[in-house]
Amino acid sequence: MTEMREEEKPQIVREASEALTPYTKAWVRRFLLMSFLDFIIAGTIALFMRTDQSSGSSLLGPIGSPGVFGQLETAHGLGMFVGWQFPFTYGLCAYILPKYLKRRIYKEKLLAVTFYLFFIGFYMVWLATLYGFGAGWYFLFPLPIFGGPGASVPWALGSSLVFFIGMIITNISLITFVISVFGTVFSKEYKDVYNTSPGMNHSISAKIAAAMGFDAYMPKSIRQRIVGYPIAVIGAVVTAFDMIVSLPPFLVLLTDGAWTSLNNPSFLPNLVAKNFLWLNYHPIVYFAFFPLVGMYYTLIPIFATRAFESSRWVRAPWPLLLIPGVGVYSHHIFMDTAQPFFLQIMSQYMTMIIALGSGISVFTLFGLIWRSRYDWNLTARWILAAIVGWILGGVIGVELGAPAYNVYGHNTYMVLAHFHFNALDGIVPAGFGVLYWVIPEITNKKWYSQKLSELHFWVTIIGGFGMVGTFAAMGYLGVPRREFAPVVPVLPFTDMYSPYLLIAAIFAFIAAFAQIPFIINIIKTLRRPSVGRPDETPMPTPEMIGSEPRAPIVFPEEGSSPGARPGPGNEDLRALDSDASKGATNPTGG
Amino acid sequence: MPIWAASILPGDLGFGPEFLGIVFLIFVLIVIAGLSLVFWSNKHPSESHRYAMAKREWVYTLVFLVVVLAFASSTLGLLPYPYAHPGVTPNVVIDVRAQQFQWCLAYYPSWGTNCQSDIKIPLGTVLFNTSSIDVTHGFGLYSSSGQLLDQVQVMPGYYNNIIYQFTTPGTYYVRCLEFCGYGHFGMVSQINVTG
Repeated sequence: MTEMREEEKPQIVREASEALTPYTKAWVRRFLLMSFLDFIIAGTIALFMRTDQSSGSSLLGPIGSPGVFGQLETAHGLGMFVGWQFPFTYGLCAYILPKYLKRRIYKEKLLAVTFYLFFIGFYMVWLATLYGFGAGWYFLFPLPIFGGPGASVPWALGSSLVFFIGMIITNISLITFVISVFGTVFSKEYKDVYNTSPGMNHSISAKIAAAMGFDAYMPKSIRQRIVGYPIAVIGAVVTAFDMIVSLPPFLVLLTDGAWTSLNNPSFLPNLVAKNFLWLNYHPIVYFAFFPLVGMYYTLIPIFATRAFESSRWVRAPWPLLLIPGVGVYSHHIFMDTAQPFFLQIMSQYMTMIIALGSGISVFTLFGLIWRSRYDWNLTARWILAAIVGWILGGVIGVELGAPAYNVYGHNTYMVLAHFHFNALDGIVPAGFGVLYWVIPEITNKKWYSQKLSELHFWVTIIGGFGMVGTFAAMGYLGVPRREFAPVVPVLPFTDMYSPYLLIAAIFAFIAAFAQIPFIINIIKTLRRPSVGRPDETPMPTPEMIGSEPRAPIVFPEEGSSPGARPGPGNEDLRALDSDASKGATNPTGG
Repeated sequence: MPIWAASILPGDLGFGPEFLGIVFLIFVLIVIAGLSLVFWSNKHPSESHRYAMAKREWVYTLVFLVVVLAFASSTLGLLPYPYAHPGVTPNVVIDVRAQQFQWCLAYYPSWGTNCQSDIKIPLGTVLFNTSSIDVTHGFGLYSSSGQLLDQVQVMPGYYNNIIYQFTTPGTYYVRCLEFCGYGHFGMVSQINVTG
C-alpha cells in the first residue's frame, strides 16, 4: 500500500499552535503589514483632502486643484475600504481560523495567491487614480467615462480601464479568500470534533447553520446535536458569505465599466448600475467589522475572566447581521425616487434589524464587563473605543435609515460622520487592539515599548473622535460633503462652515501624528531578536464564549436494538473540544 | 420615462434636522453615563463568574426592537414613497436640467431652454421636474441660512420630481449634492421666492 503524502494525512491538531503554522503566520504578517502601509498612505491622502476643505479658513492654503481633489477622494476612499480593510481582514481571518478552530488553513498556498492577486489588483486601482481617474470611490455611472465638458483635465479613458480591471482582479482575490475560509470551516477532510463527534449532526447544512449563528434560533433538541463554532469563526464566515453573495452583480458592474472605458455604450441602465454597486459596497463596510466583532466576543470574556450565560444570546445577533448586511443596501438609494418602492421599504426595515443585531451585541458585551474584575489592558481599551464608535455611528445610521430623515442627511457630513465613526473610530481602533494582541504571537517578538503604545492609543482616540465629532456637527448643519473650499461660490452661509472645517483638519492632523509612535514601535519590535517560543495569546474556554455543552444522543447498549451504538458522555466531548485557558501573560503588559 | 413624485411639505415631519442633532447629543450623554457606570461597576465586582445580565437581555431586546420599528414605521404615514401628495396641486412647475457643471432652471414646459441661473418664482407649492443630460447630480435645496430643505438625485434617463412648499419669501439656493466631476463644487443656482 502506498504511503500517504504529508498533505493527504488527516488534519488532526491538538494545539492551536500546530494549526497556526509558520507558513500561515508569515502570510498573516504580510497581510497585516500591507494593510498598515495602505492605511498610512490613504490617511496621508486624507490630510491633503482635509487641508483643501479647510482652506476657506485661510490658515491653511489649498494643496490641490478641483481635479486633483477628485483623485484624492477616490484614492482615499478605496485606500481605506479596500486597501486597508481587505488585507487586514485576509490576515485576521488567516489568524482566527487556525487559532480558534484549531485547523490548518485549507490549502495554505491559496494565501499567497490571495496576496498577489490583491497586490496587483489594488495597486492598479491606485495607479489609475494617480493617472487622473477621479470619479469617486463609488464611481456612480456614467461618471467614470465622463471627465466632463469644461473639465480642465478630464481623466483619460485609459485610467478608467486600468481602474476597472484593477478592481476586477482585487475582487478575484476575494474569491480565493472565501475558498480559504469556507474550505477551512466546512471541509470534511478535517478529522476533529466538528466532523467526527459521535451522535452529532455533521451535515453541511448543520455546519452552515452553526457557522452563521442560526443554531441560536433552533429548538434545544436540534441545537444540541450541532457542534457550535467559536464566535470569531462565525464572524469570519458571515463576512465571507456576505461578500461572496454580493459579488456577482458587482463584477457585472465592473465589467460594464471596463467595457465603457473602451468607448462602448454602457449595457447597464443607470439605476441598475447603482443597485449593483451598493449591493456589494454595503457589505464591504462590514468586511473587517464582522470578524472584529467576533474577536470582541472572544477577548472580552478572557479580560473579564467570565463566561457568557447562554450561547444563544452570543449567536443570536449573527443572522441579524448576516442577512441585513446585504439587505440594507438600498438605503444608499433612498434619494432616488425611481428606485422600486418595495426595495426602499425592505432596506428601511433591514436597517432597523441590523441596528437591533448591533444593539444586542453591545448589550451582551457590556453585560459581561459589568461588575467583573475587568482587565483594562491596552487591547481592551482599543476595543472599548471601537464599541463607542460603533454605537455613535449606529445612532446616525438609524437616523439616516429612514427616507424621511435621510433627505436631511444624504450627501452631507452626516454620512461622513456615520461611516467615520464606524471606521476611523470603530474598525480601526479594533484593528489596532487586535494587532497589539497578536503581533507577539505571529512574530515571535515582544513589543518594544509600552509607553509608545499608550501614546498611540490616547492621541489616536483624541484625534479620531474629535474629527468625526466635528463631522457630525457639520452634518446636522447640512454641510455638503466633498467641498473643495477654494472654488465653492461664496454663499451667505458658507462662511459658517469654515471654523468646523478647520477644527476637523486640526483633529485629523492629531490623529495622523498619533501613528508615528506606532510606526516607531512596530519597526523597533520587528527588529528585536525573536523569543524562543511565541508568546501565545490565551484561548477562551468553550464556556466563556458560549459554546454550551452539547450532549450527544446516548444510544442504548449495542445489540439491544438495530443500529444502536453507545455514545460518549459530555466529558469526552469536552476533552476533545477544550483547550485549557493558558496562563500566558498579556503580551501588551496592560 | 417613469415619472415619480417626491415631496416633503413642511409640517409633514414636524421637525427639521436639528431634532436629529439633539437625539444624537442625547445618545452621546447616554454613552458617557453608561461608560462611567461600567467603570464604577468594575470597582465593585460581583463574586459570580457568570454573566449576570442574561435575564435582562430579553427585556432590552424587546424594548430596542419596539423603538427601532416604531421609528421606522413613523414615516409610513408618508406612503407611498417617496412622499407623494396626491391631493396637492403645485402652483408652479419648474423644469430643472442638470449638466456638468450648471443648472438650467426654467418654467415648464421649457426643459433645457430659457435657462435662468437666478429664477423668480411666487410663494406657494412648486414642483421641480428634474433630470440630467450627462451624469448623476444631486438637487439640494438650501435656505439662505444654510439649512438643507429638500433634495433628490438627478439622473440621466429618469425624471425625478419633488414638491416643495415655499412659505417664506426670500433667496434660496440650489447646490449640487452628488459628485459629478471637477466642476461639481461650483454648481450653484439661485431661486428668488417673491411674496
